[in-house]
Amino acid sequence: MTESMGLMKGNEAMAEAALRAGCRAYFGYPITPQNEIPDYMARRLPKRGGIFLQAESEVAAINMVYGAGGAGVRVMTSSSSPGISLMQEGLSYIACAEIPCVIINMVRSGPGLGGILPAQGDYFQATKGGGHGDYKLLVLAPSTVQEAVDITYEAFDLADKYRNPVMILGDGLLGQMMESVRLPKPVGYLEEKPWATTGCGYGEPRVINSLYIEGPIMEERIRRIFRKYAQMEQDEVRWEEYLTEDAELLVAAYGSTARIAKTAVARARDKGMAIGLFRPISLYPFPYGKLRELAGRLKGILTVEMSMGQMVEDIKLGVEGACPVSFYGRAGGMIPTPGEILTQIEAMWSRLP
Amino acid sequence: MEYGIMIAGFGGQGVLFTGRLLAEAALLSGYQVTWYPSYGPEQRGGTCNCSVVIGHGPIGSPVIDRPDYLLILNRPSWERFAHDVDAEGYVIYNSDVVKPSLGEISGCPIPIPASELAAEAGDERVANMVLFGAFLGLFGQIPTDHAQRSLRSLISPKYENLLNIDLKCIDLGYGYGKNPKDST
Repeated sequence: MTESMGLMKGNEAMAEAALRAGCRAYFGYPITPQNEIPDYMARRLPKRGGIFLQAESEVAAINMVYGAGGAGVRVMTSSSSPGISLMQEGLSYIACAEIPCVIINMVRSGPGLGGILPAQGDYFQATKGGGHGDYKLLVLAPSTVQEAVDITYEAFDLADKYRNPVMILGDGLLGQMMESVRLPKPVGYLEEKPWATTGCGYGEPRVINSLYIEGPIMEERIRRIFRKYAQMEQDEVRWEEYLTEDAELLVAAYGSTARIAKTAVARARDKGMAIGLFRPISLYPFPYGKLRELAGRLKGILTVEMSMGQMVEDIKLGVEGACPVSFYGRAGGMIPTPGEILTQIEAMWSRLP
Repeated sequence: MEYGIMIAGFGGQGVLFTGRLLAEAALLSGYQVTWYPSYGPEQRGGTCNCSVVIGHGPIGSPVIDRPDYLLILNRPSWERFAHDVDAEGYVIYNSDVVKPSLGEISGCPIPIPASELAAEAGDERVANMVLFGAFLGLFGQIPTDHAQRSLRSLISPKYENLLNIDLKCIDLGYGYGKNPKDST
């Protein structure tokens, strides 16, 4: 059962979806372009019996997330690129300690303090382990406000299922735009977490920790979390295909860029070119298998990103040389237009044998 | 079929509000809708724009590179966006403040004396509503009562006193948009 809410901003819709998923603790520090999330949480979360706290920094916020998650509460934070950088140490600890939590990164341009406009330059940081050590975040990249709602709602279940941080990788465009949404109904009873540190007096002591001094014990810890990643690679790979069936060329793009590319692909189809779109939704685990399968019958893939080229490396890994991969990117907050992408498609199309 | 509508002007002229109103009215009329504001340094520096895409299927790009309709409230916005308009598109502009040399754009210019009409309705600041009305008249697929309903639900209590003026502005603009030849 869902509830139609009319038009909502991406940021607000995701905040409401989190509340309906049972999120009862939010810790964060303001930064554009995601401020509507803490704003929404500050207004609504206390009324629903939860806690909203503006921390003194992102470093503090992520450690509060660690604590609340350890106590078994559904917890989240949100930020944008420079703020997410500050959270990396905490994320590494949380992944090692196997604490479920949800992180929204509404990416802005970087490096540095950069700018407040949309970008996709945090792909490497999100998917390859932005903090130290051997760990992964489950990373999901929505393309529409509705998908952002659905993914946010589900992210809390996935975080609990794998006892691992789930990152939702959006950008300023997704956060600031409005679309009509249907919201899922609030979750009811949530199962107790048998590992959570909920206070003394309930039997065996429970310890949440990320420090394992003995090599063999630490190695086993790492192997244990990697068994979960192997499971994710089996069960959580997601992608969308658009007009791929008879396509000779594909555009590969994720998030907001993918929907801009979709318009370019539709225009290319109108001009008689056999073009499709491949949109990874889970960035980790990445849909390498599907991509390899498609690449075998393609003449080329054009990767488009709002970065200087990050996901394109995973595209190449997936393609395994089966077809040429080219890249078009805008950066610094500049958004590629459908016309620009179409020009790239036409150039690649005209070079086909 | 998707339609890209851009609204551009100075901050404070109701650019984002007009876009929101259009988006809500289109939604009521059965369209799928995206609304995307300029939220970057340009907004902070004064000029502001907003992109609304409406269509009968899922919307692709919320970013518009060749608007079908462009609503212009100031001269800098003409200079920046008028040339991007689709060859079959329309540039609806406040001719009281924008005096372009015509023939320089590919779309069809629709001059509207929006400040004058807004003043006639009771407040020359709401020229944005006149242009919005003109768009409705020209577009012809969003009933004015949907626009009126959306306006009533969106207007903040602070501007409640402008509601009737806004409604009148929409009506005045609608007439111009419906019969654009009469206005030139």
